[in-house]
Amino acid sequence: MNVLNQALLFGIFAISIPIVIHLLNRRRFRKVRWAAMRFLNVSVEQNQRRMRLEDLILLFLRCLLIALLALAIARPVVEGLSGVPGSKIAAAIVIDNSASMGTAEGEGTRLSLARQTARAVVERLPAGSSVAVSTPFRSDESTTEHDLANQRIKEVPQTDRHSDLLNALEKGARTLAGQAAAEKELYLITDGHAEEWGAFAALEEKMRALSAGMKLHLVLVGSPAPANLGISRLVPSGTLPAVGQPFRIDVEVTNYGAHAAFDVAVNLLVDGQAGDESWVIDEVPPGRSESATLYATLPRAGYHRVTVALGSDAVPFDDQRTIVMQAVDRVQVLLVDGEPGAEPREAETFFLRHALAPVSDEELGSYPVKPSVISPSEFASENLADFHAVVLANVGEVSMEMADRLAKYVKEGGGLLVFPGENVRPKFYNTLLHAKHHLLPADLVAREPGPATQTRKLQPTETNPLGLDGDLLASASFRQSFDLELPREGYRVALRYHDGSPALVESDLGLGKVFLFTSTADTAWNDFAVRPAFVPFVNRLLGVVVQHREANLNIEAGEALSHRLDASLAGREVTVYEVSDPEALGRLTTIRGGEESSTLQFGETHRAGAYQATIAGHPTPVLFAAQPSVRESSLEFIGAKQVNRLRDSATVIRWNTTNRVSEFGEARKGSELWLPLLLLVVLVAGVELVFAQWFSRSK
Amino acid sequence: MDPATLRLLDPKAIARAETLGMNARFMVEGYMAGEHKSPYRGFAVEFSQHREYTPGDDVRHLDWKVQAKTERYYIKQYEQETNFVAHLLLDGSESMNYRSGDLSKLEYGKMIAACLAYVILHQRDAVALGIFDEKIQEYLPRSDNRDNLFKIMNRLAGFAPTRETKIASVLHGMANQIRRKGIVILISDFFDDEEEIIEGIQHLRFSGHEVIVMQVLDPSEIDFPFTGMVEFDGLENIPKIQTRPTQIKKTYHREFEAFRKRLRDACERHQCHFVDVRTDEPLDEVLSNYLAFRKATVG
Repeated sequence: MNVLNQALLFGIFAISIPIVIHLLNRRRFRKVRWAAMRFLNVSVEQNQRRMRLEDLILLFLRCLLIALLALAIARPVVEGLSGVPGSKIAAAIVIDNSASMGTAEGEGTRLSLARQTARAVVERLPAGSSVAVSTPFRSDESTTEHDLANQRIKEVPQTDRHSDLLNALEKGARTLAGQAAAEKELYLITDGHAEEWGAFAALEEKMRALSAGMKLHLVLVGSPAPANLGISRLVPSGTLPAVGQPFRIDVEVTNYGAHAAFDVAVNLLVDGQAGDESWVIDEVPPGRSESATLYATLPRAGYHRVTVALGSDAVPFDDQRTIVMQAVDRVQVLLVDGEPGAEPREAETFFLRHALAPVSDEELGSYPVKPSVISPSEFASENLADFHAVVLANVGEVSMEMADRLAKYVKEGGGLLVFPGENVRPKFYNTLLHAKHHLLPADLVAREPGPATQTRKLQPTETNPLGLDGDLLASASFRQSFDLELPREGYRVALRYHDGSPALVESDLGLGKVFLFTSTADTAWNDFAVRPAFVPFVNRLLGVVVQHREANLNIEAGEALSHRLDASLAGREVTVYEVSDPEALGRLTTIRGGEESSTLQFGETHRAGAYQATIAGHPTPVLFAAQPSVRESSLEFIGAKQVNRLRDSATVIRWNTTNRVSEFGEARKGSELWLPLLLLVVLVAGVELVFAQWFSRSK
Repeated sequence: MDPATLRLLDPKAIARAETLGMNARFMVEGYMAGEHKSPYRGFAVEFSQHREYTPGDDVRHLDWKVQAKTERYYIKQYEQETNFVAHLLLDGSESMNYRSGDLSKLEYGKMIAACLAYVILHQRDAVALGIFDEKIQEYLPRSDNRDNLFKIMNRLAGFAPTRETKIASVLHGMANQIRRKGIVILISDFFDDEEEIIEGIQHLRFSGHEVIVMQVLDPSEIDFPFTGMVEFDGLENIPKIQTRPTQIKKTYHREFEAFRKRLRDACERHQCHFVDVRTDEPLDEVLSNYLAFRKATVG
């Protein structure tokens, strides 16, 4: 027999209280000088044995009462006894609902099997037992209402996320903490997917530690799927998707099975509509990945869902991926030329203009990018809101009014590209654009010109945010540039010179983005403008600037969306629902306010696919997409040896549709006795009361 | 007379008892002519009965009227009124010292004795007083002198109980000592062997005395109202007893009432008056009730 509240067991010593009271009462009496002693003697003699017996009975009952009460409070548990009322159990059921649990199993999935298992656990719990149902991503409070627990089990959702079982175990154990029950039982119901057990040693250690205070049950559901072909990567290659222009999508298909897959069709869907575009991969060897290239054409301006799908298999979650892209039909770029020159070719913006619209004059009308060139003196008359980006090319001085307008423009979502030159007076840039408005991420510092023969080459940084080809960049030679005096943070270097000094630095301000290049946009200080890398360079810069406002719309399942919106939308209610299931009840959230922008935050991205966020009073909904976890595609399960090691700390049950419900609780031995003891206390108290009344009556 | 002595005389009791008087229930041998009939019939004051003439009788007592009517000779007999002697015997044992209220049984008994002595002396009868425990501790010989009341009360007031009681031996002693028939008024709680007590009473009755038994009891002795744990300390060197009175109350009542009934029945059997006296009852009521009863039954 065990005792749950061992400290309270010392309460049994309280049985000395009635004994002491009894003895004290014998000492505490009233003294009476008495004459009629002979009648008293006779009476006492006649009743002595009875009175002594009554005293002993009452004393015994009172001692028994206190002993039983102390025992009940100490909550003894007897092993090998079952069916005793009040022998409750505190149970925690952790259901793994990671992406791999969506694998087909019989007529359902592993998750449906897990739900069935969990219901069996609840069914076998003694009445009044508490049970908490949790998943790796959510935990509920314990409840003693088993119908409610079953409802929660039924509502455990399938996710497309990777789960952290270590964290899930801790969550489950936390729900049991502080509960005083005869037994604590923790059930981890999972498919044994190897990826979830990656930190096996840590999990084993955690289970061993938990098994000291509770009984652990590892219930493995399902069996390994025979094959799985999944999309492991979906990347848009261009950054400026224009309306009606083919847009390249790079796809990677991985075979997670043990056998090669042949003639794998990769299909493209735009806004859920299948087009003619498809790709067939002849063979995907086992354990290998193959690439496919598809071209999507976005029919109109605005958000679009671009989905790539494979034929369905037993593991459905990775058979398709969706990303959200925004198509643009007209991109206005304002080029402020600080050195127009005598001829067009001598203009500072000549190469920029042609790089922005690298088409013939006849095609300019239909090309989406529309560059406009002005002189600095004309800047004041331009409405900046009409432009997606503003380029300052060798503009010598920046007036205060110009700096103010540029700062406001960028904060509201505009893009600013700065190309310096010999006209540039750093003092104005540093004072107004950097120090005052934080438009520029760094101060410009004039650099002493080196010998004509000493040139520098460009190279992308490790992250290569513009996705430019290093060889192409290296073909350009730079003779002159500004140096940058960079702050500690708030910027990102996109390109460097080969000596390590920054060549292109980007930063964010409000909703807008700023790029600061350290050399000229024409051939005065370099030959970059006449190299093949210049056109994609300019195009990517523009693409990044235009797409910047829609950044972070493609996230991984489970990752929280944090999308910046106009400050005026702060406080608006947003209804978010999955596009694949528009009938489902939308989830509500509110746009958070900020100083210069507002933020749409949403964390319930458990499923992969596109989501639509409808903003109250705002005509255009925001589309975003979640990608399934690549780690869940693997077909590997934990090995038999590992399972055997886990048996040291947990009861391992392999559950399939043929299991009996009664398997759960068979090993349950202990029964708590506090309720029977309490009933006995009440009974003894009643008997004591009756006896005390009976004995104390006149005799 | 000091206040303690005076306190023995209850003015109300005396006033009420005085009017009723104390008459000898049976004929007593008076040593003076008084209000009580004497068994020594003669020719004094009051006619008693006729008796057939036998030779030698004084012819002066022949009733000629009867002779004229019946032609037989009858002698008239008269009852002589005489003074009686009341022997007040007060139990002065330690058990009489118990009290639950203002008065102990002994104090109450003393008051009874004092009041009766006053009343008896006041009607010119004689009173003798004996206070006893194991034996007669204080004794005042009979006297009809009213001044003797002072002595009686002084003796009563000055007596303090210290010993156990042996009523029977005292009664036997008194029966042997008292030559003339009189009234023996026995005031006690009778917490002694009742068989022996009854034998003593019987002895007194055989000697021709009228015996009045006045059992003085404290209300607590009758009702036994104690609760909780009580240690009873015996007044006559009887060992202490610790008990819960409620648990023996019924048995006590049964035993106590049986004792009183045996005593009462014995008194009735031997034609003695038995008077129940509770120390919480007013003395005047106790005495007047008994004397009224006595007057009604004796005439």
